[in-house]
Amino acid sequence: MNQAETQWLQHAIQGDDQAFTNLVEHYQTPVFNLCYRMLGDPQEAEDAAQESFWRAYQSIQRYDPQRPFATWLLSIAAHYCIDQQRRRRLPSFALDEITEEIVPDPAPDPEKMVGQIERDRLLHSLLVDMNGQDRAAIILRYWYDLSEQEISEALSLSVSAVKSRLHRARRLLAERWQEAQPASVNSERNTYGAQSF
Amino acid sequence: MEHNLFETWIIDQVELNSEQEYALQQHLLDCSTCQRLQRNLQAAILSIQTSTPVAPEPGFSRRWNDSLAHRRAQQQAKQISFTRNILLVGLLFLLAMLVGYSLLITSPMRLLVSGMQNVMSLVLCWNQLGRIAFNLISALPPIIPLAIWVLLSTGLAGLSLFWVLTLWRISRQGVGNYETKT
Repeated sequence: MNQAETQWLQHAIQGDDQAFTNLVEHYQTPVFNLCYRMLGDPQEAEDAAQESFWRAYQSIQRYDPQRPFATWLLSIAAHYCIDQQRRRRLPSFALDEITEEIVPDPAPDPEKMVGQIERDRLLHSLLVDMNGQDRAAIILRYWYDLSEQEISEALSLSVSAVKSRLHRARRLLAERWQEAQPASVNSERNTYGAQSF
Repeated sequence: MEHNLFETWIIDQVELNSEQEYALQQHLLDCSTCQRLQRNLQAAILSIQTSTPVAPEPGFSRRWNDSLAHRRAQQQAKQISFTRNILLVGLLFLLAMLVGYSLLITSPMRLLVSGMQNVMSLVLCWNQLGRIAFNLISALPPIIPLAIWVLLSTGLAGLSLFWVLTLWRISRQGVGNYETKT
């Protein structure tokens, strides 16, 4: 956390709304990205991110400065998204929404756009069958590079529970990746698989 | 070694010593299931790690600012409604207890008569208090100097004005926000 962020945080704790808005501006992408990966829908992700910031705003007096602010914020967002996910099944992606949200390039290359959409579909298919906490653990581990200890704090789980969730989620990731690959690629890789090691 | 152990090493991505690493490589040469598992897992994780973070639509913080006032108003309304409901429930509970207790110790008719008598006494009391206050006000002016009267009435008027203003501010801004600003 740099000097400016520390100052915004201190002022926000003292009730300065503008300082908190600066924090929102600074952390909007990581929080939105987490919500988007958890919920799979841009509009729901927007609502979830806004709600996460509101919850952070309400409880900022209870924030422990010893803890990284980003982890604390992501923890709030992850908990909210897990609750949301429990209430409903993950919806399917709408192509136009993905195009609008994921490719902010003002003059997008159509080939690049299609590639981006395909990659995003693939990522979605990897996560779609995981339950909320498994998905949150995988997202925090590989998108945000959090350690198992940090994930356990963020999700209010024990470290061994995080390990077991990551184990289950990684197994599912490998299975889904296998299913997502075209059959020809799989058979070719299976034939020559040993050489890649 | 067992296949399951190698599978666990691959999935948990544990750090292996050179002996374990050699054993794993030997196992991978023979086991196509583990080969596939390792290859698929590595590719899946790589695809996650190299994906671009998704940003919200422009104007996210402006939308946050716009929603802040609305959220505060909602929270304030919720607080007021909660307090009112608690008071109402408390009052009803107290009333029910009183009525229950009274019905236990006496008959409904006697309770009604007693209630009427109490109301009558209250009205009489109120009238007596009014008379006492009137007599006091009529008797006091000659004893207390005019300057003290002026000071007292100005002070009372000031306090009342301050009280009304405070109530108005709290009703406009909410308790939490009012306390933060003051």
